Amino acid sequence: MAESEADTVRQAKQGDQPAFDRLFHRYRRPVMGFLYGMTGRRDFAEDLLQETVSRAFLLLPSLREESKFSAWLFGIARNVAREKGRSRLRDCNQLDLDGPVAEAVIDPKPDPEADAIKRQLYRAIGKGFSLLDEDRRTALALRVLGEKQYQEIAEITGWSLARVKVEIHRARAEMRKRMEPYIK
Amino acid sequence: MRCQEIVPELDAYLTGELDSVMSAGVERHIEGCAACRAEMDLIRRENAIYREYASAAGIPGVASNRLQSSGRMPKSSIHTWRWAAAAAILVAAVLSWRFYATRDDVDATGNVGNGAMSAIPVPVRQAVSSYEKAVFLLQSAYQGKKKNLDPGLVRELDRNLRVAEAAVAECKLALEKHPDNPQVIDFLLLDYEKQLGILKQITEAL
Repeated sequence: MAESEADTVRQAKQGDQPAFDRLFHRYRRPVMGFLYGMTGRRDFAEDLLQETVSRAFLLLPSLREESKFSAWLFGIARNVAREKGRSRLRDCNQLDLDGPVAEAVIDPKPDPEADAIKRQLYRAIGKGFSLLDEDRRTALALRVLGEKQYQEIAEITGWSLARVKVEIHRARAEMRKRMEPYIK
Repeated sequence: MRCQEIVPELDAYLTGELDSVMSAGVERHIEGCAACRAEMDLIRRENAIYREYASAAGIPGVASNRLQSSGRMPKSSIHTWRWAAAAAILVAAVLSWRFYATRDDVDATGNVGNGAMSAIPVPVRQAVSSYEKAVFLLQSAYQGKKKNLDPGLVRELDRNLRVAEAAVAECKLALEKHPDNPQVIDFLLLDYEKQLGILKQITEAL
């Protein structure tokens, strides 16, 4: 029988290192995606991911509802992004609106024009995320890069389901304006 | 249902997150509404673009549906998680060990003798204890060398430390009132990190 996530969390809480590895491997990609959406910088997102894991490791034994692990972990990532993100950007004054495209790795294509358009599109997405207000950015990054369902986003943010829908709908609308010129 | 009610539901409809009643309502509507069908296609297309965007930044294959439990993971990600976990253990273990050699008011369970902290979950208490031990060690080192430093610099350092200490104290009070609140715990740990960061900078420069 397949091991449930709650079982894995229980084992990890008891100090089972392989269970801890399995658990966090499962979430590395979506958490990283979320943090990338929040920061627009891959290197920065990697740092925040490390911080998220460290805090999660320290706090894991205090998690009461094993079935809520996902929301709990993303809640930590969200707090880390808010706290470290603000202070680091303030300290370094390095909000680079074009960062994502500078880092984007586009596969070699036979069509340089299409490639250039794609780069512009990714630049527009990165800039769009950075210009969303924090709540909309959080909601959309959780949804499209963090792979979260609406109900889970409500649990992570503490918002009502209706508010989650509104934030994502509005964030999508804002982003669409920026993406539109490149996807017609 | 009108288009304005349908459009905010389309994204959740595409991933099967609506209940059966709402899902049936959306289905009925889009059968007869070309505009909402076009909107749904656009959302689908945008979702694909967001996935490509993440992949282009080196975040491999954001899943198109809910994340499923995967099999083998790349070695690099194993190292990432292990490194962070090991670092957390190491910091706590090293600090605990060093502190036990310098203080005699720690009981057998590792608590620091603060009754008000008893409602706080044990792992959080342990984390707090580890941070306090580290702060104590670094503070001791700083106090010992203080007289050799420029008085103006000392005033500046002390001012920064007082701000950091006040933030920690405030969060500890909040934690006593809300021992299960993860945000309060996060803020407290963050403030400890800031305090430690200042002390580390000072002691490394001594």
